Amino acid sequence: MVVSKSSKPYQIFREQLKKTLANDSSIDISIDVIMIDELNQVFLDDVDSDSYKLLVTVGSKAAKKMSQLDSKKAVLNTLLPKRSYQLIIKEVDNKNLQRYSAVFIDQPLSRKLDLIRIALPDIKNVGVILGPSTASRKKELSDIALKKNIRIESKTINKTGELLSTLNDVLDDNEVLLTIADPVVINRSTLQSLFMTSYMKRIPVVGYSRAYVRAGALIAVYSTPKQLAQYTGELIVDMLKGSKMAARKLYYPKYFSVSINERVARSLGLFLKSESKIQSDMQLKEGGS
Amino acid sequence: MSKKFNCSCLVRILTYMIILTTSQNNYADEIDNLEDEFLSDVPVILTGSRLEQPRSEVPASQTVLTSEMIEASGTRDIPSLFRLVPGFQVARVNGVTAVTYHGNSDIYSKRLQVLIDGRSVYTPLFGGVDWSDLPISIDDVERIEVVRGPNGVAYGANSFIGVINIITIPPDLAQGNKLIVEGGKQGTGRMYYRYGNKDRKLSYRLSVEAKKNDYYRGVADDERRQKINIRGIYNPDTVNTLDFSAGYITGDNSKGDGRVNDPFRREDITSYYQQLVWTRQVSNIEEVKLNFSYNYHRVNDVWDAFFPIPANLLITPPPAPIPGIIVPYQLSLSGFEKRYNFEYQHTKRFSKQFRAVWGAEVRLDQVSGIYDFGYFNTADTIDNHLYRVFANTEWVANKDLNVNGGLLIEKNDITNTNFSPRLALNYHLKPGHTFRSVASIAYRTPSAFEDRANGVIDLGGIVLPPFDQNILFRGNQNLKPEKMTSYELGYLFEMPESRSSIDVKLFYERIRDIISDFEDKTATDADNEIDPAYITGGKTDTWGIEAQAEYRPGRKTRLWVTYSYAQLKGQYIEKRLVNGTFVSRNLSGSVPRHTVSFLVSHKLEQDLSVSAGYYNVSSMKWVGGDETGGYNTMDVRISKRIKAGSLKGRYEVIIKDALKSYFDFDRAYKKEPVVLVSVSMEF
Repeated sequence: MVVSKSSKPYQIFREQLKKTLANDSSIDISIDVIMIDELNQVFLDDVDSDSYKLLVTVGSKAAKKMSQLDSKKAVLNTLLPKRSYQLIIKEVDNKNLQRYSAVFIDQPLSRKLDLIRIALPDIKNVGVILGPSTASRKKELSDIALKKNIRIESKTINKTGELLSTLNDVLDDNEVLLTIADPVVINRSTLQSLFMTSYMKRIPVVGYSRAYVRAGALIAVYSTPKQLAQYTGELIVDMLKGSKMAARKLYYPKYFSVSINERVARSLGLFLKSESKIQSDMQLKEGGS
Repeated sequence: MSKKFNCSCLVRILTYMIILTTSQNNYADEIDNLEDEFLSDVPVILTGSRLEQPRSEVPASQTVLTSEMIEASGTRDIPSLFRLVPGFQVARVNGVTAVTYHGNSDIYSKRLQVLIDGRSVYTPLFGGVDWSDLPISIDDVERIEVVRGPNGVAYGANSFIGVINIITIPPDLAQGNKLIVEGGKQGTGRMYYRYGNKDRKLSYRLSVEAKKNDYYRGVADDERRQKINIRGIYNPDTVNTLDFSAGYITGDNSKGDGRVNDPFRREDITSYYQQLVWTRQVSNIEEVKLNFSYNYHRVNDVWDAFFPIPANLLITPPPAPIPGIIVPYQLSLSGFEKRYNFEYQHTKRFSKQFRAVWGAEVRLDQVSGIYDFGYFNTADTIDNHLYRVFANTEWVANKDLNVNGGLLIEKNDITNTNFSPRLALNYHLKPGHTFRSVASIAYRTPSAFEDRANGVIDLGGIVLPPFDQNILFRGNQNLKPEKMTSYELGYLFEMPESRSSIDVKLFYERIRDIISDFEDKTATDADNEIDPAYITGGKTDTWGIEAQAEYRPGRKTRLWVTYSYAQLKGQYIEKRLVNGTFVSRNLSGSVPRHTVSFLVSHKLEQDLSVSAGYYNVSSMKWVGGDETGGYNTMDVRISKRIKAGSLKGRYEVIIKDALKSYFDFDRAYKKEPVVLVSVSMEF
C-alpha cells in the first residue's frame, strides 16, 4: 500500500484498513505500507515480484505515481475523487487499463439526490453550478434527477469570475443548492461568497464534506476515511479471494454519513429529521432499489 | 545590495507569473490536491454573528426587507421601502422625509431608531433621521431588518416605536464593476458605480452615487446629493475579522417659500462617518465584538431676513438699520452634530439551554448651531455623554419554550438614568407554528434642541414686537424622557421549504410623557407669547392587529402582503391659556385605521420580469399636516436582463405612483405619476 500523505485522514485510513484486514478470519492478508516520499528502488523493483498480489494506493498522489510505473500488478486506487482517477487513467496505456480499479471518495449523484429527497421532501427545484471539470456530468445529472422526480437546473461556468452572477440566477430559481466538487466553482476563496449569498437568499446548501457542513452548508452526505477504509478492506478481501483480480472495477463508497448544521437549519427555520434517521432512510432506499 | 534584492524579487515575481499562467494546464498539481476538497478543514463562514436568529425564536416582531423585495418594489429611495412593513407610514414634505410606525408623529419623526451596519444614524440635534443625508445608496443595501415595537433593551434610548437596521452588502458579494444610469420625469436622475475586489484575506468594495430629484411640481424642494463609501473586510486568520467602512456625502437643496423672511435659497449639507468593527470568534460558542464609530453631519442654511422696526425703537448706531423702518438680519437654521461611539459586546452559549449577550457602550454627542445666533445662542458645542450596560439572555426552557429576558441601563446628561427591560416567551406549538408574547419598556431622550434650544435674535437691545425678548424658540431642561410600555402577542406560521409564512401580531402600546411644542400664553412678556417651547404631558394608547405574509404560488411568482389595523387614543399639550389651563390636541386621527401593501413579482420568461407594489393607507393626519382622506398608490416595474459576452446588464422601466395623484402629508404637495428608465451593467 502506497500512501500519499501523512496527515490525519490518511493515518486513520491506514489504521482502519489494517484493522479490517486483520479482523477477517477467512483469509490471511499481510500488508506493507510505504509513504510516497519513502519510495525507493528496492520497493519499486519488488512490486512486480510475487511477494505482492495487489497494489493499493491511498490518495491521488500515490495513484498517479504508481500509474507511471511499468508493472503488471493489479492496482486498487483509494481515497481519491473520481475526477483524479479519470485524469490519471487518461495517461495510462489502453491495454493496461484493466489493471486499475478504484474506490472513490465522492458520493454517487443518485445518493446526493436521495439525500435531498429524504431530508428536504418538499423541495422540488434543485440548483447546481458546474465548472470546466464537471460540465460533462450535466446529462448524467439530469437523467438521474428525472428518475428521482427532482427538477434540476444546472448552469456551467468557465471561470471563477462568473460564479457570483450565475449563483444569483440559480438561487433565484431554486430552493436548494447542490454542490459538486469542481475547483473553479468551489475553492477556499469562493466558499465565503457561496455560503453567504445562499444564506442571504435563504437557500440551503448541500455540501459534500463534514467540514463544509461546519462552515455553513445545511447538510452533507460523505464518507469518512474510516468508512472508506472499511469498505476498501472488504473489497480487498473479495479481490484476493476471487480469481478475477485483473478486471477493472469502480466503486463508490458503500458506507456513508450524514451531517447537519443544526444552527443553520434553525436559522433557516427548517425542521429536519435527525442525522441517523436520514442516514437509515437513505440506506433503506439504496438497499431497496 | 538593494538593486540585487529588487532584481531577485523581479525574477521571483516572473516565476510566479509563469507558474500561475501555466498551472491551469498543469493537471499534475490539480490531481495531487483534489481530495483535499473532501478531507481538509475550512474556516467557519456562517458564524454565530452572521447567522440570524431563527424567526421563530426572535423575541420581537420582525420584518425583513430582502434584496429581492427591494428590487421588486422598484423603489429608489430607502424610506419608501418601509411602506412594505405592516403599520409603517412614510411621507415627504418640504424636503423632509418622515417614517413612522403607528402614526402619532410630525414630519421630524423622532421615535424610530435607525442603524446602518449597527451604527446609529439617529440625529442628536433634532432627533429622528435625515433620510436624504444617509451616506449610502439603496444599491449598497443587502437587506433591512425592521423590529416592529420598542427594542430599547438592545439599542437603548430612542429605539422607541421600532428599530430599522440597514445591512450593507459585504464586499465579498459585491465583486467586479457595476454601473447604473437612470433618469425620469420630475428631474429624477441617478448614477451609481461600484467596484469590488479581493484577495485571500482582504475584500473591499467602493461605491459612488450622484443623485438628483425635483420631487413635487410647483414646489422649490429639489435635491442633489453626491456620495462615496467604502467597506472592507480583513480576515487575518480564521478567528479575527476587521470590518471597516467610511463614507462621505455632500449636496444641496432648495429651501424657502419665497416670502420676505423665508426667501428661495440653497441649503448645503455635508456628512461623513468612519466605522471599525473587530470581531473575534473565541470559540464555536463565544464571540467578542468591538465597534468604534464616528459620525459627522452639518447643515448650512443662512439667509437675510428683514424685520420692520417701529420708529420709536430705532437706535443708531449700532446696529445700523436701513433708514426708515427695516433692519436686515441674518437668520440661520444651520448646525452640526458629531458622534463618537464605542461599543463592546460579548456573546456566549453557556450550554444548549442557555445563551447570553452582554456588553457596554460609551458615546459622546456634540451639537452646535454653528453661529452664536443659531439654535443654542452660544458658539460652544452642547455635549451629551451617554453610558450603557446591557445583558440579554436566552433560555431554552424545554424544546418548545424559549424565554428571553434582558435589561439595558442607560445614563445620559439629558435624562440621567433609565432602565429598559424586556421579557419574551416563544412557544413552539409544533414545527412551523410559534406563539410569542413580548413585554418591554423603552425611552426616548429629548433631543438637544428640545432640551437646550435658545433661539434669540439679538438686535443690540432692540426688542421686536412680534418676538418678545426676541426669542424664536426655547428648549426645556426639565423635560422627562418619553416612556413606552409595549405588550404584544404574536403567532408565526412558517413553511420554510416553500418559503411561505404568515405572522400575525396583536399589540398594545402605551406612551406617556409625550413631549410637544406648545404656545404658552401665561408668559409675562410684552405680547404674552413664546413659541415654540417644549413641555412634557401628552399620552397615547394604541392597540391593533397587524399581519404580514409571504407566499410563493410557483417558481416564478412571489407575493408579499401586509395589513395593519390600529386605533389610537390620546393627546398632546398644544397651549397654555392666560388663565393657566392647558389645552390639548386630540391625536386619534394621527394613525391610519388601515394600512395595506401588496408586492408581487413574476418572471414572464428567463430574462423578463414584472413586478408591482400596491399601497393603501386610510385617512390620517400627521401632526402639522392635513387630513389625507386616504389614498391608494401603485408602483409598476418591468425589467429585462441582457447578456453580451462577459457583460451582464438590465433595463428597467418603472412607473411610480401610477394611479391617480394624491398627497401623504400636506395637500400642497401632490404626488403624481413619474416614469423612470434605468440601465445597469455588470462587468
